[in-house]
Amino acid sequence: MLRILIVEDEKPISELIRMSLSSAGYQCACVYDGIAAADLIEQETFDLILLDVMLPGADGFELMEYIRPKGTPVIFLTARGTVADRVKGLRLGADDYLVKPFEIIELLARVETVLRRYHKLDRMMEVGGLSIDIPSRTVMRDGLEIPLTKKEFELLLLFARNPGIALYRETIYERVWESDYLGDSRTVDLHVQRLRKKVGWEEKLKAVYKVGYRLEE
Amino acid sequence: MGYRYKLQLMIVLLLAFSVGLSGTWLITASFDDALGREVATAQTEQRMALYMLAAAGKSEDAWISTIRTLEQQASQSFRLATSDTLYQHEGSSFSDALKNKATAQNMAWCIWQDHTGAHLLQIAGVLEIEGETVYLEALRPVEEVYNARAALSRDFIWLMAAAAVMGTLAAALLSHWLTASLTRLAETARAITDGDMARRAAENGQDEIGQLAKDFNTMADRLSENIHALEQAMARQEEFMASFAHEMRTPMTSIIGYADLLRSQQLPHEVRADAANYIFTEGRRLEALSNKLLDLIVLGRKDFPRHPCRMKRLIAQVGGFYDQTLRSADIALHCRVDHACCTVEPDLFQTLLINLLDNARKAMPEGGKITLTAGQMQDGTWRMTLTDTGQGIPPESLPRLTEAFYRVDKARSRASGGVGLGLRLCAEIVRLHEGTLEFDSKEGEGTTVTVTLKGGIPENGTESESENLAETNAMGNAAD
Repeated sequence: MLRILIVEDEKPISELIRMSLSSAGYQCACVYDGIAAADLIEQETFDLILLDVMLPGADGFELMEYIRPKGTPVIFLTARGTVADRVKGLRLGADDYLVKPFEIIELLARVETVLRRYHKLDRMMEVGGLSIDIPSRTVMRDGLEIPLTKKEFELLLLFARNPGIALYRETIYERVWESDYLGDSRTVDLHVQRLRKKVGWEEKLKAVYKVGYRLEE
Repeated sequence: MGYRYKLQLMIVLLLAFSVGLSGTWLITASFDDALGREVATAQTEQRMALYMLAAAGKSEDAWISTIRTLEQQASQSFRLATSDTLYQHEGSSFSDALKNKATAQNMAWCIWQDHTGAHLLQIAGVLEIEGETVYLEALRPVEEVYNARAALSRDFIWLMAAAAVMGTLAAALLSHWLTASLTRLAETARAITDGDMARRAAENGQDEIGQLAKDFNTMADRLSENIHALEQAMARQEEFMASFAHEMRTPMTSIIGYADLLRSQQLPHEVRADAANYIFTEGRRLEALSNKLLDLIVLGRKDFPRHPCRMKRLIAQVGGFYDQTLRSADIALHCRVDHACCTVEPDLFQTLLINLLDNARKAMPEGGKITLTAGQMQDGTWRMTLTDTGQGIPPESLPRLTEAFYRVDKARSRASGGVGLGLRLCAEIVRLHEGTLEFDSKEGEGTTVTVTLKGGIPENGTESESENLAETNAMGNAAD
């Protein structure tokens, strides 16, 4: 199981991240100030660190000094979304930069991206009778490859990564089509219909009334 | 055309005009003088010739021989006539302009030019010799006088040219010297325009330009002071906005995050309750933040009317409705307040006191004692000190206490619902009253806050009617 350290002094936010990551199958440790974080980073090894920039004790930028020798990937969390801050964080060796307020699904996606970059995630996923090979973008059912378009594959991956979570149409649209949702749900519905038929998820991929879709676990 | 060149041109023109005028006058005067002398000489000689003719008696031959003798001696040539011309010097031509102009009493003369252009002085005299009228005219060359004038004019033109050259040079130097300080001043002005705010003009000399430089520097000083103040205000504003964004986003992250969690996942009951609770408390935090922020904005905008108030009564009101809160926190409040009045805005003063009491309460989670002392000072100010027995403030935090969003202990502040604006608000209120707010603290022992306000009025001070009104209002608030 992958271990993630959450360094965030705001208890509610720390809890929120811990809940979301735990339910996504990660093991989490939480610390609430810079000095405790530095101690823990020296003693233990983590697969990923989520680091708040403004911390009591030592700030996130200072903590990078302890983290860099260990080579642990870091995602900065900050309420200060200025370009200068972003650049400073990335220059100090952070792998990504997440500005508060953020959505959980966004956090999970960034975490996965960074972990995959460090080859800490499996290349293969087994979901709902499908085996998904992410780097080669192939989907197999019972040893037979199912041909999917680019958007269909992204859609499949989004559901596979968030099983049991109701995904809102605008969330789906924003993550797969990577642009702002303008209220046109037909695009999402159309693609979900086709995906259901292609991969045989007619029963598993449930429509949630007034919300969107959920992949049954 | 630059001021410098205008000045230079003016000087040269003035110089040329004055030199030309005086030169012309000099030449004319000397010419007139020389010509006058020539005429006088000619008249003397003419008179002598007439005299000698008269002495020769009535004989045309004698006259002619006399004239011939005279011509040999003098440089003049003659024409002698009665009704006919008796004698005319060979090779000389005479002008007829003087005919009948001369009388026995007066000689007539004129100057004319012969065919070669030479100037000749012709003088005519009349003589009565034994009933016969004799006209004697003499010609005297005066070309030399004219030549002298021409020569003088030529010399004068050279002199003029030299004077013009010298004058131009001198004027250039002079105008350069006069305008140099102006040019430097203009350079300084341009440098300042280009952003070099530290540049100043040299202030040499007591003349108008020196004064201008001084005034200019004063203006630049004032300007850069203003700009500096504006920049500082801007920096403070930016700092405030950055902190404000942070303060807004932190609770918003929780609210959005937990709401997102609740709407998209089937969560166990406890987790759902936790999430809902977080949304509620963080929402409250946003509310508290917006309220405090509004207070600050209102304080920054308004000019509050102040009037003399009985401070003891204002403090007692606050103590009255804050008592329950303190008692439940196991805190004792001891007040020693004299009967002095002070010029304050009562609502603001009470807000200040509540904020300070609130801070003291939060500093004593296990209970303790607050001592409030207030009264008139010798120097006419009104002073209030508030001492608690709380955990105190670390010395490095003391100077930053009134910064917006600064918290000594963020976790503790959060737990007690603070947004980091309480003391900022207090500082603003004290600033509006032109007073001071001081903190003194020992870690582990407690903190003392001292508020010093201007406009303290001793016990017997007059009490205005508006104060009574204000107090009634304040009491109304207290009852709420």
